[in-house]
Amino acid sequence: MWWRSASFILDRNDNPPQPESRHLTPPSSHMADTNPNPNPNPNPINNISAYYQTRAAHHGVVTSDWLAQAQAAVGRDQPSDSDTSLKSSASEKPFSVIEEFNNWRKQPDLAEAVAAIRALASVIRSSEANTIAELQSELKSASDSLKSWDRTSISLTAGCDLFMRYITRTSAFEYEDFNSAKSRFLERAEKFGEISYKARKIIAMLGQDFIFNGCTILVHGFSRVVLEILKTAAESRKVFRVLCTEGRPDRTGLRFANELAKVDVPVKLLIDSAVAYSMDEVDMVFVGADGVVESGGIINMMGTYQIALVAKTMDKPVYVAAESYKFARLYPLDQKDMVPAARPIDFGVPIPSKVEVETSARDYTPPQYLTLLFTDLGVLTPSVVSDELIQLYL
Amino acid sequence: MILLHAHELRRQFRVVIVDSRPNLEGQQLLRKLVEKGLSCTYTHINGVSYIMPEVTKIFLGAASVLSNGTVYSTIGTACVAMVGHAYHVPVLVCCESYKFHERVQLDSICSNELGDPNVIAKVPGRKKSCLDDWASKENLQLLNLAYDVTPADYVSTIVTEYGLIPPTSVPVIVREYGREHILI
Repeated sequence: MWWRSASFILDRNDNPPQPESRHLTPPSSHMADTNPNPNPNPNPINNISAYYQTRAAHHGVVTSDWLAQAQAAVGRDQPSDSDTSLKSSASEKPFSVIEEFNNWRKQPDLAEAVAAIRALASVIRSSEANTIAELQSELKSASDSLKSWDRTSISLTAGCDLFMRYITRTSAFEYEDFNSAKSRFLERAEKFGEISYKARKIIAMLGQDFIFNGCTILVHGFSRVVLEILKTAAESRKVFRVLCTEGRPDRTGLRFANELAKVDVPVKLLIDSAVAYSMDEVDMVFVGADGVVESGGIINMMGTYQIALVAKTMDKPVYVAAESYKFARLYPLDQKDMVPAARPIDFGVPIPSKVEVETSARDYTPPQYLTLLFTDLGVLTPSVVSDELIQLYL
Repeated sequence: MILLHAHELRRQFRVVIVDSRPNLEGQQLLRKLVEKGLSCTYTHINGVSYIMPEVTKIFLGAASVLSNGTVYSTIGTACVAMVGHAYHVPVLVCCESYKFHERVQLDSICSNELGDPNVIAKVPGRKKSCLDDWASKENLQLLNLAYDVTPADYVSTIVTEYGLIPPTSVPVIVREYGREHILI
């Protein structure tokens, strides 16, 4: 009965499960991330995004929900062990991809897409296929199961797609024998990890050119790429200061400020509401991206759109730092047009159950509010994203 | 066709058809949709700003899309897109990629086509109109333009057989796939 949005995604679900997501009561049907489960998605009912939960875990945010989950998981571990030992012998392969992926993803410095590609590489390694077609179909099913396991993570989907694309492109060489093709795929997967690490360095070199002496930078969210840019600028003896938004509920700003203080960059923390107030003294805004979509816009932590709007009104440039594997073939028409990714929000005080809470972890910033994108392909304007995607996928 | 396909997939939606004189092409569309059982609303282009607050998406066709993202289509399209933009309604232009052209155009007047001016002079339902003897008046010209131009800013996305692309990527498609359509 409320206003309907233009979203494709919401239209598909006839009744978006809003009444179900009372996330402040400890969810009894929740399974912890590490609990292997024949049902691929560990959070089917409450739509809570595994991607954002992992990030929160990296940042060391402990909410009351998470504690309850962890306790439940500990309590459940004893009976489920016997289950898994029976199941694992029967169905090794489907489990191992997701298991592998989860293991890789837990490391805080590793990008999502790299974790996905390493998981797929392990599928290749453990595969018993004898032909390329068989290997391809195995990979396809592994990639699909990874993607469906967490539909909210854009870099996961993009990483899987990129790797599959590479596989299908190089499979055109039919003259090689199977083993050398297989080893080439593995080699590429290994290289991808390096590429992603190098991507951050390239972006840092490009980005730090835009930082001039005496400038004030506003940062939102904890992006490892943006951190790299600022560290590189600090190392080349540039004098600048950074304003960090607090980034509730993940407290990303606090952690970012911590990292910057280690390299002696002057930092000032703002509460999220103080952005417009401080925008006058800001020279540029730096954000990372969870995903870059086909229109040239970005999907990033909740609050990015707000900041971009304020920056545009006050004529401040907004720079986005994103690796090229984050380019995704999505096209949101408005804020609600993405797979909903919910994050449990802990206000610290109990909230009456009649009160709804907006739990989305991310928002979409349209391309007209972004000035430039720093990627490992160079410094691009938002309209070039579609160019790259067309060349890559079509 | 898009609407009929969506209806076959059992999607629940309602269609508002905006029509304009003198061709009244919307009536054919209305007839086809009502036959298949879709719930439709029919309005004249004068009422577009009245109906716009109820609209969630706008679907437009195109005769061509030019390389600066400008949409070249039946007259009246630019008006609907502009009103949609003012009400923050996404505008989707549905156009096959063979209609993309490397020309760039900034206004509606160049390379437009003229239709029959007498058609505008006649108002259906009225036997006599004050424009009946327009040809005899020296300082009166009737202009019946066939096409108009919608700037890329009003278009949210272009739906092609390659997927959804932003209007700025039209020259990319022309560059990548344009060669295939050249018949030697």
